[in-house]
Formats: sequence, C-alpha cells, structure tokens
Amino acid sequence: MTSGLTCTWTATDGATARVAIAGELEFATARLLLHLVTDRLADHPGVRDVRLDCGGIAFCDSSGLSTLLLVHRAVTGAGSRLYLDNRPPALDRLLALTGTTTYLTGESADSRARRDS
Amino acid sequence: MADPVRTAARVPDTGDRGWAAAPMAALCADADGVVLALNEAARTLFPAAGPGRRLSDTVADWLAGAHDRRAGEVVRGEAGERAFAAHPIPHGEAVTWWLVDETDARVAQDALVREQERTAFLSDASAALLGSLNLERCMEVAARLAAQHLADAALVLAPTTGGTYPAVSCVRGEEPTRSRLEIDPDDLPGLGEALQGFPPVPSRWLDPDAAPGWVLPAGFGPVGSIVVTPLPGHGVPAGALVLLRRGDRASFTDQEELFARLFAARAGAAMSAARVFAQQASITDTLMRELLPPSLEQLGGVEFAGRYRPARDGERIGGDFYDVHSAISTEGDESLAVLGDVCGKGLDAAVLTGKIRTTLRALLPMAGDHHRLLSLLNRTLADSRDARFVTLVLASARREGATVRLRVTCAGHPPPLVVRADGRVEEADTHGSLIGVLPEIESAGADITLDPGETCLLYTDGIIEARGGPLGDAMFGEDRLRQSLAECANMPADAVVERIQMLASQWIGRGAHDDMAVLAITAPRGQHLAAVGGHGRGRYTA
Repeated sequence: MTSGLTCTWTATDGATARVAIAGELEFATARLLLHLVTDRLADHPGVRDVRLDCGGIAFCDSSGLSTLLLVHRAVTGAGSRLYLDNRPPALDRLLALTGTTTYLTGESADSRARRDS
Repeated sequence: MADPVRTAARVPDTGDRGWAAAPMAALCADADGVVLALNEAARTLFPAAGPGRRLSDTVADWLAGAHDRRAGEVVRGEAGERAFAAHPIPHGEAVTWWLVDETDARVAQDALVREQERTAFLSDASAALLGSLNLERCMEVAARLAAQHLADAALVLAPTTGGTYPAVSCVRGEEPTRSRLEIDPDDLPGLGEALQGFPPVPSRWLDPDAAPGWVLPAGFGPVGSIVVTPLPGHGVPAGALVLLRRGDRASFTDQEELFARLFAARAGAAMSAARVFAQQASITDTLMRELLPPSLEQLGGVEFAGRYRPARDGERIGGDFYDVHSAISTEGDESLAVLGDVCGKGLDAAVLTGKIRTTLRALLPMAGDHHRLLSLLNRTLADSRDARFVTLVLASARREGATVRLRVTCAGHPPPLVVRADGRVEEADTHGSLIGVLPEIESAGADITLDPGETCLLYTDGIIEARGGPLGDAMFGEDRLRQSLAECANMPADAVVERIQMLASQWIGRGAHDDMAVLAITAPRGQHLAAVGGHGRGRYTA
C-alpha cells in the first residue's frame, strides 16, 4: 500500500493560510494539493501569504515538483506569495537539482512583477 | 351406488344435451372396444363411428390402440389434420375418451422451440462474432454462420478499401474463402446502396438470373433465390450480406427474413467494432513508431547504447527518452546525445516527449552551445498551461585519437556518472535548471575526457528511485547505482546499459516503477588500425 497524501488548509488569520502536507507528493496524488490550494484561494480572496508546511513530505517526484510549480503559479497569479516551510533535505536537493529553489522560494522577479501589476 | 358401467352406458340415453353438445369430442367404449356412445363433436371427427361399432374400424389407430392397451394414460395423436390429447375416464369395464384439441397449443409450442433455437443461435453468433477483433476473421465467422443457418451459401462484403472489396464467401459445410473483389457492386441490385449505408434498406429479392457471376461461389450450381441484406455498423455501414439458396429450396419466409436481419445487425456491429479497432491499432502503431526510442550504434568512433523500460507494462512508450544525433560529416564533428525525462507517465508524457525530441532535432545547429540550445527549447515549451517540464542531459561527444571528448550539460537532471578504467566512479560537475516552466534558465556544463574502456552513463531518476529490494520499499539509490557502475569498467556501452537496467529491474522485482532509461557513451577499447588508410585519425575496432 502506498502511504498517499494528506493536505490540510488552515487560515491562521485573514491574510495567512497554512497548508500542511503529509505523505508522498507524486504522480498519483499530487493533483490533490493543487486543487485544494486553487479552491481555497478562490474562497478566501483576502489571503496574501500561502505557507506550505513541507515537513511531512516523505517523497516528491517530478510530478510532485510540477505540482509545486503549478501551485506557485496559482498563488502568485492570485496576487499572493508562496512559502515552502520546513523543507526536508530531500526536497531541498530536488529543488537544487532542478534549479527551481530561487523560483519557488525566493523573491523572484517574476512573482514580484505579477504582484505589483 | 350406481353401477359405473351402466352409468356410462346410460349417459347418451339420458338425453343430456350438455354431454352430447360439448365442444370437446367424447366417446365411450366397452372392454371389447365396441362404442357405447359418442357425442356430436366425436361424430364429426370420426364420421364412421357409432354405437355398436368397433373402435378399431372407425377411429384413429392410436386411439383404438390405447383403448386396447388399457394403459389409463393420456395419449396424443392426430385426427382430421388436428392434434389431440385423449384423456381416458374409466367406468369399471368401459372407458370414456375425452379428446382435447391441442393443435393451437402445439403450433405455439413449435414456434416457441423454433424461437428459442433462434435466440440461442443469435446469442452464440454474437459470441462467435465478437470473439475476434480482426475484421477478416469476423467476416469469416459471419459468412460461415449465415451459410449454416440462413441459406445454402453466403457472401459477406466489407466496404471498399482502395477500390477493391474485401469479401468472404462460404458454402454450407465448406470452409470460407477470402478474396478481394474488383467489382461494381451496382451490378447486383441493392448491393451498392447496402454498402454505401443508405438508411436501412430492406432485404431485397432478386431474380437469380440477373445476378453477376462473382456473387456465386464456384461450383454452387443453379441459384433459386438471392437476398441482399445490409450489415449496419456504428455510424458507417459495415458491409453487406448476400444469401443464396439453391433452386430446389423455396424462397425466404417473412420469419426467416426477419431472422436474417437480426443476424445481420449482430454481424454488422461486430464487423464495425473490428474495423474501428483495426483503425485505432494502425493509428497507434504509426504514432508509436515515431515515439519509440531509437536503436543506437557506434558513431564516429564513439560507442552509444541505450535501454528503456516504460513505467507501465504493456506500453512501449512513456516520459523518458533518449536520442543520439549524428553530426559526423567532417573531421572532428560532434555527435549529440540527449537523455531526458518528461514529468508524467504514459501517452500524455509520450506526446510531449515527441514534441521535445522534434524540437531538439530542429535546434541541432545550436548544439555547439548547450546553454543556447536549452534556452531556445525552454522558450518553446514555457508557454504551456500545465507546468509540465522536462529535465535532460546533453552530451556532445567527439573522438580524439583513442579518447572521447565530452561536453556535458544537465538541465534539472541528475548529473551523469563516469566510470574510469580502474573502476572509480565520478559525478560530472554540471548543473542547470529544468526546462519548460521558468522564464529564464541557467546551466553550467562540464568537459570530460574518456580514455578507452571508460563510460559516461546518463540515466533518469526512474533508476535511482526504483523501489524494491529485500523488503520491497527501499530505493535503488545513487550509491547502489555507483557500485553497479564500478563493475562496468572496460565494458562495451551495450553491456553497461544492459547490466544497469537488469540490476534495477531485479531490484524492483514485481513492484511498480517509473519510466527508466539509461544511455551509455563509451570510449572503445579497440586496437588502433592506423594502417588502414594511413591518413587522418585512423580507425579502430569496436
């Protein structure tokens, strides 16, 4: 049996949302995270910061990374900011290997430009 | 109690109009088979019968026989073209026979049995027809069944492909014959319409003399009747069925014709399904051929070999790919090897893979500058709505004397491993960002020199993330890959990829896995054949 994926959205205050991710972020499961974030963002337009708590990610493959990129696109597209908190070393290695660390976690020029526009 | 014999004998004498006028025939006979009494209906049925006459002379044999046997059971037989069940009612020595008319019931019963046989046949026919998704096989089954159950011979025609008509004809009791007919279907009235799929044309009766020769099976003899029935398909016509009967057999009844159309509906559906399936299989094959990984060989004195195992068993394509583009036209040119991994699995990934491979081929003139090539590829793919990306490794290889010079650039991909002749395994010092999502990419390449017997291995993460092992859930991992590769020093490229793929597959066992691809670039350990030609870089054995 695969361990699957659990994602929990908590709006700590009106402007910040925290999404706890637990399990394996891979081909079969990753869509769950994207749908949760896009649905909740639409319901809570006041949220400025979306903080993904990555501490519980046991495994992340290329489809998982693709989902993180889509989540990033959805969050910045809605004028909010995405944070990847408590990243496990394996996730950090994947981000470094694929050259996406700055894009996903830093203040990239792209997300700033979209938010300011 | 009254004496039963006398009671029975007394019945007609009482003037009981109920008995005499009963619609059911009744006659009473004594132990010797002499008729004691009979009613009007019995009189009508057996005009010769009357009181005092013997049963054996006046009524049907089966009834007289049953009376003599005194079996006391219901017997059945025919009288005056109708079927009866005779129920004996004994009165001591005498017996009254009540004859129940069963003609209608028997006709209904016969019809029911026939209907049951037909239903069973149609159900069997459906099973036989749908048992094969091969159109020609399906046509054979249809022709054979039609010849067996509907006519003396049958001809099944499919719509034209390239001017000729695929046909199967079958004579009852013989093997079906396949052919492709070069004919004008309008020679047989109704056939042209049936093949073009005009709205359900009713079966058509034809003058057998008007039928063209190609309708008749060889040696069939004179034809008595011909029927053309369209075979309806899914949206498009599936073909037509021609039924032939010999001269001595009467033409089709309404029932038989209805039955033929029910059969045609099933045969048509099956042929239509087989045709659609064949079309899809051919489309898939054609598309798949473009997406399959190439077979690799030695190019310009450099050995290339690749192995690929898609994530889903039964599929031959997926999200991993490799290619080697030969640019060996002049001295010192490079071949470009590419190994990549499109995120996702199955057909979706394969289609994107095809796009990337085509784009890379178009960008080959830029292969001298890996970063530029990757940037252009990134720009081509970046505008997709879904964040599907590709990670890949580029390796430009050129033979220089006995060595192979490599320029390697990773784009978001695990860096290649190099196994030296002494078994040391090194990681290529290259990195870069993945392709297809980010607005700008960065990359840093590495230069590597391979001495004879040394191999640079490009692999996708399906290899190191392959889960299995003794407990079934451990990853193959980079360390295990390095160890396996260390044992591959001085092996030819083909042996290296075979061994790595085999070890990873063994590790997985029966478990699920991602696409797995490996590509080896090896400097051959051959002898320098400088004597051959005597100019240029010379040649080497493999």
